[in-house]
Amino acid sequence: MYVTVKVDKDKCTGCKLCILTCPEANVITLNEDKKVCINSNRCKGCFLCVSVCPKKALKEGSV
Amino acid sequence: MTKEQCVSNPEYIFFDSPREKVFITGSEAVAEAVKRANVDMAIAYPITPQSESMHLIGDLYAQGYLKDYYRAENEFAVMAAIHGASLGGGRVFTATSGPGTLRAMEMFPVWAGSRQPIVCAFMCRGVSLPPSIQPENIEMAMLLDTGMIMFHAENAQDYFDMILKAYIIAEQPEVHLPIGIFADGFFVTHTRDLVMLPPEDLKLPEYDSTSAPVPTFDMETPPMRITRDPLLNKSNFISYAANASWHQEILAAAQRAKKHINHYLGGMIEISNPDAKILIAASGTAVSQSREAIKSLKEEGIDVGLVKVKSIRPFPTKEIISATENAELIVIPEFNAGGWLCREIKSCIDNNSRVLEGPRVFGGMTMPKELIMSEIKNAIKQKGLKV
Amino acid sequence: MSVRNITPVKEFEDILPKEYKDLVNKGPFNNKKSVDDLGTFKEIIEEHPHCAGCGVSLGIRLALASLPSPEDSLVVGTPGCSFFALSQSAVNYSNTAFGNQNAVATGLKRMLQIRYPDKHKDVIVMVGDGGIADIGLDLTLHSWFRKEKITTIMLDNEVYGNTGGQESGMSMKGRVLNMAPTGKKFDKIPVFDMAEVSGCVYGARVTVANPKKVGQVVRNAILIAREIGPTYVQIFTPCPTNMKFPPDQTIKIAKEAQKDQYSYKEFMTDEVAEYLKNI
Repeated sequence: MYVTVKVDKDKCTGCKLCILTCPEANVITLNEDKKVCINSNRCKGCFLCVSVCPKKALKEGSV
Repeated sequence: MTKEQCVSNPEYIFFDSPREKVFITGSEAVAEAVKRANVDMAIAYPITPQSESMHLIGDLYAQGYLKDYYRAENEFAVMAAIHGASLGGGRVFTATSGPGTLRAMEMFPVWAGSRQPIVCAFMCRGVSLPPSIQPENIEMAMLLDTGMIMFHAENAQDYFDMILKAYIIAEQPEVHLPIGIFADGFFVTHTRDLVMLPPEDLKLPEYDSTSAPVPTFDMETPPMRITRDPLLNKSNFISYAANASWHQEILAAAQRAKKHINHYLGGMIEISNPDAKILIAASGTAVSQSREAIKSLKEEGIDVGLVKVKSIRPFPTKEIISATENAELIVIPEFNAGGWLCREIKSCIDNNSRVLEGPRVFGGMTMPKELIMSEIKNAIKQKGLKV
Repeated sequence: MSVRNITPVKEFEDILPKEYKDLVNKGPFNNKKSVDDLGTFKEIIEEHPHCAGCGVSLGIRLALASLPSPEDSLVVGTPGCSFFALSQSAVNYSNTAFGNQNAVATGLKRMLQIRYPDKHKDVIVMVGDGGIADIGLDLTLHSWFRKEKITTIMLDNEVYGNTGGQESGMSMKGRVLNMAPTGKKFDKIPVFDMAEVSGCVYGARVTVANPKKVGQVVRNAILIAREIGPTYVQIFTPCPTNMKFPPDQTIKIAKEAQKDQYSYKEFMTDEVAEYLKNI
């Protein structure tokens, strides 16, 4: 089991703050529906994105 | 303002072109070599006895022979900037001496590890043990295992030829290693000597970085995702194996340089009177002093041969074994206290009791022929050799 | 280079990894991107071994996304943590001996000017605080004195990270660290102020808590270095591992620093101000 981040698509506004805060490249991307999407295979689980999300759309989770 | 130079075949410049006899210092010979070497960039930092040669190369820049030249802040910075310039795909030159060599030490294995065909002249002098600016070549001992190819020049003619030819040897795709050309400071750099020079309107073809075994660092040579000199320090077997195999490849490249050294320098060693029972093996200025001693000993009826070691790295192990096979006394005069050439030779030949360690002079002392002669005569007496 | 240089021939397309094909088709080469576009294009950094929550790797990611011409950018580094992400990037990256980066960059920049007189080849130094403020301070200052047209970026985590959390010249006074068992005895080395008096024509001091600002100043610094002279950007990139805070606090720590030692600062010459008006 790995820690990763889950996106609540209803709350995500596509502001991209999480994308600009992630220390990994191409792990959080913006979908065509303007919602963010996490590549949980490569997420290191630092939760910096969770700490900056203004809408609390990101949550700690696991796979 | 530059004299028009035309690019010529290296073989023609080295072997077939007419040569003019001039009476110049070793420092001037260095500049004459750089003038004909089609060098893009040189970087200087002053130190005795190197300074004069790099002044003259500055003049070459002012005359348009080089495309860039500057005085850097210290030798470590010089060797680092020369490395950067070489990564960028051009031909470079610099020179230093003794303490400067030690100051820049960290960069020499980097050059070799990065496979840069940098040519650097070393005008050897004492280092701080205690400080001396006088001729002495102990710094060569410290560079033996940096991965660099090393030539030891006997005189100004050697210095000129070795520097010019070093570019062509270093840039062979199967070699592609830095070459250090060493001469004993003052003795070679500050004295005038007869030197035969090819015409100054000829120059070597420019360096072609696309023939290098490593990609040029210019964002034009795929792949773009390339790290030069990677830090292979991950604690796992693959990292160790990658590092070790790269290291072995550098040593192998130096071995592959042997045939080019034989071709361009006419052999890694030079032997005269190979059948003599007493041999002097020497490199650099000690060779010239030995020649004088041999002449005088001959007049006294003592027959002595000479092995001049030109290439220190790669070391001519086989050549020295066969040259010394029948010798009963091998004398190794050196301009340093450590006796590195003696150690190198002893490590490759049988029956080391044949070796007379020295004479060695240092701290600026000269090596009169009488010193070599008396050492040889003493050894003959002690060993009871028939001459 | 042109993106054609790295475009595979049809026959090889199927054996190349997806990451490579993405870089050619959706990457920033010959296709201007910025920090604002992150998340919508293939970045030039691949997976790297930096710790979770690493400020340095975030700083590198933001800086590399801001390169005005990644296809003609060359990065010179020095050993340390910054190596780990930079060596996974699709630009030429050189890493030689500790502290010599600005000298290597000098030689490289000058040689590229000789070899490509009609092109801008951006040479960017990107290293940690130890490489610039301590072991490489002399070589860094001299490259500024000489007015070398290179951009120097310090990723300041206020500690030696890769060797295990030792005091650096950029550590805060009083901080207890390895090799500073009773706390650091002197202030952060004022490298930012030294840049201004040493010949840099533009300088900016930012933190990773302000990603768009990082993108803007890095881009400006590189464009100015092309035309006018040396530029310097100092980015605060906190280190959770060695400063011993939870990895999700990196941005919070950086924000706090913005009120203290990392308030936003910028300097520029009149010539630079004029130049920035026109780009």
